[in-house]
Amino acid sequence: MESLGIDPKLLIAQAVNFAIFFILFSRFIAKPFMQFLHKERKLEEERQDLSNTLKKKEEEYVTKEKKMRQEMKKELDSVLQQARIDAEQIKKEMIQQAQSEADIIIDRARKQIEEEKASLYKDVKNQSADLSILLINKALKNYLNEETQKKLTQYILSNATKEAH
Amino acid sequence: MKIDPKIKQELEHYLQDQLHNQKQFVTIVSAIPLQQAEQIELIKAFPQFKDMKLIYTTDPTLLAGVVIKFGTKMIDLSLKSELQSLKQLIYESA
Repeated sequence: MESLGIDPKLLIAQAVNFAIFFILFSRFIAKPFMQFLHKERKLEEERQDLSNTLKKKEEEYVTKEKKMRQEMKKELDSVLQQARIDAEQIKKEMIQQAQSEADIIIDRARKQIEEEKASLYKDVKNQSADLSILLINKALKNYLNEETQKKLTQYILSNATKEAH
Repeated sequence: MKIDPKIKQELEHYLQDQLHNQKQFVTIVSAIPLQQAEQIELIKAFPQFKDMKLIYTTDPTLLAGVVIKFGTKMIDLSLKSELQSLKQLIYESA
């Protein structure tokens, strides 16, 4: 060994040193470092899991939001459609009501016009009758003298006598 | 309002007397005074007035003919009433 340039004492010392170093390293440096790494890995995994969960949840939320938006749009469309139908119905009813009211007013006006026309016609007829009678009366007053009055009275009385018999 | 039965009875008697008196009289209204012949003609037409007291009056607005009033009744044989009837007929034909 010595011929090979190797000092056995030194070799042993170095081996002991190495052993001591290995023990110290493995106990006080490697172990905590490994623990630290393990912990970090775990944390990383947890973070990854959390991130995945969050991503999933986000996706779920996005999907849900999309779905909700679609539903809302559907509902809105449906409400709008219903509102449109209702408005159309109300419009129709209002037009119908206005039409019937207009018909009633027209009918009433027509009746009133007819009544007024009839009344006017009657008035004119009555007035013409009054006027005619007045004219006849006046004409008779002018025409009748004592003689004609006498003749007329005699005629009336003789007629009354005939009717009595 | 309640009427005293005594007053009511007296009023009834009075009205009955009035009616009785009126029944005895016949009022004949003519446009011109009636002559004797016409009066006879009238009695002929209405013999029920023979024993009654006839009162003759005139009303020129009758135009011609006579109006006979007796009791609560009236017989209108005047030209005026004929014209009124004609007027009524025109009214009713409207």
